[in-house]
Amino acid sequence: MKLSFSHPLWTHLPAVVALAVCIGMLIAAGPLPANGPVHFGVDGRPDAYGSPAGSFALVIGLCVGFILLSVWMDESWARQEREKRFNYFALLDEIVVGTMAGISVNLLTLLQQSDPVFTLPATEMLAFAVPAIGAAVLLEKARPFMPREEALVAEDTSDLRGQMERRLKTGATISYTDIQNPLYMNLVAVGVPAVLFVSTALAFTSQPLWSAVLNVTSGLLLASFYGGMRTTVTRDRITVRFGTPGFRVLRLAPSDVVQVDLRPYLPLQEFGGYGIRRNSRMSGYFLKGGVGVEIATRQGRRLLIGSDRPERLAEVVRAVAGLAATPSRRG
Amino acid sequence: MLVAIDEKDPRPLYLQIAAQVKEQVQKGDLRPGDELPPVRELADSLGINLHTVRSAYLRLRDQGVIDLRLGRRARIARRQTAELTPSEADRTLGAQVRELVADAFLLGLSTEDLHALLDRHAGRSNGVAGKHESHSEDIP
Repeated sequence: MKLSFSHPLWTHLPAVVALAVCIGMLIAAGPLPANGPVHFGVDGRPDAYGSPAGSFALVIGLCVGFILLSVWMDESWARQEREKRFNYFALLDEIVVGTMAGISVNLLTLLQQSDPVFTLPATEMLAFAVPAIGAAVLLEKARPFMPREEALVAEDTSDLRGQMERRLKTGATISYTDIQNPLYMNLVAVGVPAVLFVSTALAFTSQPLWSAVLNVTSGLLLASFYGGMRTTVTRDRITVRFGTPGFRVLRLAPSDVVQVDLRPYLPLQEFGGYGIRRNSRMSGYFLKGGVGVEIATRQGRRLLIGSDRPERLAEVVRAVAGLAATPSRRG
Repeated sequence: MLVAIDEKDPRPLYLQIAAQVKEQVQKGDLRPGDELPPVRELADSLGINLHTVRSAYLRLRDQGVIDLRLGRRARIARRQTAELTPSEADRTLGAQVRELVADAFLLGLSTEDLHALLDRHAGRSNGVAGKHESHSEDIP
């Protein structure tokens, strides 16, 4: 399978170069001592000793992880774009890698001192971060706008509308379910709780009880979101539920619906995130960006429901609300 | 996924649900990997017992239409592409075909009428099967 990116990979080059320069400086510094300060307290004095090579490997691993995370975040952003916009999140990997590279280089100097005291190495951090961020700004401005075709193509819903009308006319009980459960939800609802539970179990005797309780409670709360978001439409209600327990976050009578439209949206930019969100115009329920279903009610509320197949969801809501079918259009 | 329960339909409810899921898979409305709603929520939205929905899901699992594993969401299974031998086809569909032939006889349909009916539906199915395959190829 050929991977195609809407946000070019070369926009991450400044972070990669900053990391490469940092690694080059570590190699050029010669062999590292077997034992040295690896952690510093609030007063700047070392409070933990160990292998500096291990610390540097951890920092490099974190930087690589952050660059990969940034690739994924920027790609998610670019796939939602309907027009070219400057993505400030694209600078995140340069900020983090530049900062960590500056701290690592400063640690090299501290390793050579007999009585090291850690202070925030502003000069080293700026030396790495400023050129990296500057280059990233230029690249983010220069990157081409490459919308994905499938995001602009609407699904034909005439057959679904016909089925709905036939069934509504015959008095059948109907239930339409739309599920939005992106891959990252499995990471949030399975991966993170697993890490929390395992780390709590391993450090059970050495950590305070409140910390263990907090970890387990957070893990259980995150695990309850396994299953993503479900929107169910029946004759008499439209319901949005989250997670395995099916937390109901929205219930609406179809008779209250006065208008249903498709609407492209940017979760981070318009709502500041994912999940149950609110901005000055409407309430949003979504786990992914793209095109959603905007519903206006008699009471003047505006709701945006995310869906992987928004044309179908919009048509079903229109059918139960008794609204005319509308030709589907995206973007 | 759209499910409708029709009180005038003589089939048991779980068969109605299973048949509609299969029809949507055949039409390409449900694609391999698509999730099915949780048993409890579908039962609640249709106002029926959750064991009825569970029976429908188990039947679909036994027929290889969905993947149903403990602790995981039910999903539409990837379509089997292996061709059945005539004896395997008879073992899988023979009983249903024999029942269909008997029903047609009892309704007074001639063999030609039954052939025409099958041709009409098979032709429609072939049309959507092509559409379905193009969908399956889209899924990585």
